[in-house]
Amino acid sequence: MGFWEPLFFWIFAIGAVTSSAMVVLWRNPLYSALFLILDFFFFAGLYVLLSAHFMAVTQILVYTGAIMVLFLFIIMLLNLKDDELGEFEFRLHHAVAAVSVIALFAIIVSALLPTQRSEQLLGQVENGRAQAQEALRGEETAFSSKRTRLEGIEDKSRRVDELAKLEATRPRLRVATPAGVKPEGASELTSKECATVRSVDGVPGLFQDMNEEGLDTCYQARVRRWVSKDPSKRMDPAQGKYRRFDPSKPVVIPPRISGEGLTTERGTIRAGKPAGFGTVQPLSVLLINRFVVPFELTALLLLGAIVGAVIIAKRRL
Amino acid sequence: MMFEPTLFHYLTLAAMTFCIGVFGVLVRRNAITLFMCIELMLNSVNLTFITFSKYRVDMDGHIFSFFVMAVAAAEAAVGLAIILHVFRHKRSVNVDEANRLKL
Repeated sequence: MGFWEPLFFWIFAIGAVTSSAMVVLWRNPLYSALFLILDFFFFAGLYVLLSAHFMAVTQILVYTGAIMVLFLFIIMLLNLKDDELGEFEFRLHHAVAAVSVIALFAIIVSALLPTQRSEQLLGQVENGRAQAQEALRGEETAFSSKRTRLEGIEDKSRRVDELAKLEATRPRLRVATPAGVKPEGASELTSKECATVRSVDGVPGLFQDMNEEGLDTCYQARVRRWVSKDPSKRMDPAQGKYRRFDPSKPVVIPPRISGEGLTTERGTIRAGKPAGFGTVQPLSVLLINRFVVPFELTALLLLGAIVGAVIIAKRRL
Repeated sequence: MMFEPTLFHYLTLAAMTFCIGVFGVLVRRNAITLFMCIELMLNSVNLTFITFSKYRVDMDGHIFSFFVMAVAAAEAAVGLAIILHVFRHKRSVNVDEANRLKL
């Protein structure tokens, strides 16, 4: 992870929390809006740390550039005076709100706590897997030596019989779940923790080894599985997760496009630069391939919002 | 190392800003501030999407937060138009005073 990433994470995190608290606590909406803009900048920084470069740029362009300017414009237009804003007075529902929000936060964090533990559990699992493989290697040596001894038996029917009996005891890797292996000093893991621990598509751990390069390699591998020509190797992106328009046609998502290009059924795709995780190219490809209908619906929604805003705000139509 | 940001840190941060947004919606009576608190909540949801997107090495979360941004833009446009309309009739943006559907 290095030194800079945690440093910037903590700067952005503390900045985001304090500035969002300021949004709520400031009485004048103008200051709230300015703090919200600052907050959005901190969020954009966090998106960069999460390798979502395009989203970080969009955050600044759309939120701070468009939405917050609209807010500021309305605040200026209304031009609220201090006496119109009213004095702060403590009411019972403020205390109730504070207590319920703290309870909500406690509930969410208690749900998140298993992910915190899974970091160390993952280490145990890796350790256990290594030990199990070591044990398997020993068993396999014993098995093969036994087998050569049995193959030396003269009587054919007895030899076949013995070999079949031996075959049933062929050693297998017994690690299916982390609970199955008990490395020294490790406590027994519950099934719930195992569910948290399991690595997702070969990515070990949470953000373990998740620098830009590793993340991108992982992403490319995943996309390559989607477009693999070998149907047995192809991981169907629609499997259990997405509904496609036409199930008979595979969804084509270009992987990292190298010099020779990628040949799809619609022709060869070439690109000057590789498409990385979080950049514009894979996002646009996803948007146009798999999320066309939501995209169009969003366009429709925005059109409706424009018309609605005009109708509501106009004095006389 | 405990200072390294992991999934837990990002999700807790998102939960924290979301809770601050909820608190603002519950406590504040100024309609514009209320709207800003809603934007704050939408943003923390976006952060959750993008965090899981990195965790799963799957760009779908980016698409979702993209749509959330578009919806937030639409919501801001219509909501601010409504606030403007209410202000014209009541000379106030206090949500307690806009207690009837018919102005």
